[in-house]
Amino acid sequence: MNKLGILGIGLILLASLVFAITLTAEATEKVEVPAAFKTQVCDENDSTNCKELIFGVAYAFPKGSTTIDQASEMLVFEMDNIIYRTTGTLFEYYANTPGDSDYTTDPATITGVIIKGMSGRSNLSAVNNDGTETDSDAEYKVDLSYSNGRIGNELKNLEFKINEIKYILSEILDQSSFTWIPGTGIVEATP
Amino acid sequence: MNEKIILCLGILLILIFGCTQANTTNLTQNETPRQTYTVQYVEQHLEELVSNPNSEAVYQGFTIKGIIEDDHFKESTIKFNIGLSSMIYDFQPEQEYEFTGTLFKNEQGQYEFWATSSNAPPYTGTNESNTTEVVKSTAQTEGQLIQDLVKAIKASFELN
Repeated sequence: MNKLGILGIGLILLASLVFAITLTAEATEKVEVPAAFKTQVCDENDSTNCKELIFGVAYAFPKGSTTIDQASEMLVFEMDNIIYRTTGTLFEYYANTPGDSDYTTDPATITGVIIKGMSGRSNLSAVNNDGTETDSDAEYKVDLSYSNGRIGNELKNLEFKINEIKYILSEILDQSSFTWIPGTGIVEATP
Repeated sequence: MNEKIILCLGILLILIFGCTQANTTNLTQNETPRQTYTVQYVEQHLEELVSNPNSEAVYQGFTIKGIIEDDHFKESTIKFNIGLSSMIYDFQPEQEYEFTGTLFKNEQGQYEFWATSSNAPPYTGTNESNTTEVVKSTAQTEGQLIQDLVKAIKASFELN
């Protein structure tokens, strides 16, 4: 193997290592959660079949990072004591109203009130009790308020599909906006 | 003779012991116990500031300046607990502190003061404040960190 090949493999290994340590407690500067909700969601075909769903948008800042562009964006869900989280790049769209089919991926093209939507399938993994993860067939669709390049704390729409049942938002039971510093354990509410 | 000497020594010992005890008691009584002050002082001061438009206070972005001279504050922890904003600082006497923030009246008619200080001593948060320390993470994997993040989300509902 030539030197270039060895260098390439070395760089890939280094990149993998950097990515792997980015989201440990020690390597994370802080986690900003601009919007988190405890909700009740109900089966779209059976309004008596309701569950509690916790949902949050999180930006994990690696040590030394200062801007949100350097943070990893992810969504986390918890239903029936099982945690799900998005992996990889999120599909994001912007629209004037929830469910608007005329959405765009560029918020600058929208005038007036903007919502930020995120949806996806096949990129939610279930987090096991031991911290390992397994693929999940869960799907989600979320619409949140959005202004000045930031997610707001108003939940416009929430859908979560698991085991072929689609649950839709019925009621917001609680909500928060906060910053978490994993290493020190401090959770500070955003005023 | 020996009996008298022993008696005198006994009385002397009792006197010495008694004096020592008395001194110890006095020291204990004179020590200022470390206390947590709920600063009604500040709440009253805010009332005064609000009711007097010529004072330093305005409803948006005002500054409170003052020198804490009271010996009560010496080496004490002062707890600011005004509305939803709770902060705990270790203030020093005869030191001027400056807070800049926003004062408004909430729906319950209470004053809420959200402020930052350029020169206040380090914040020493406890569970009594709007900061909690219940979700300390030592996660070594992303999955573990996500688990702790969800715990933090649940804890945050109590803060808002």
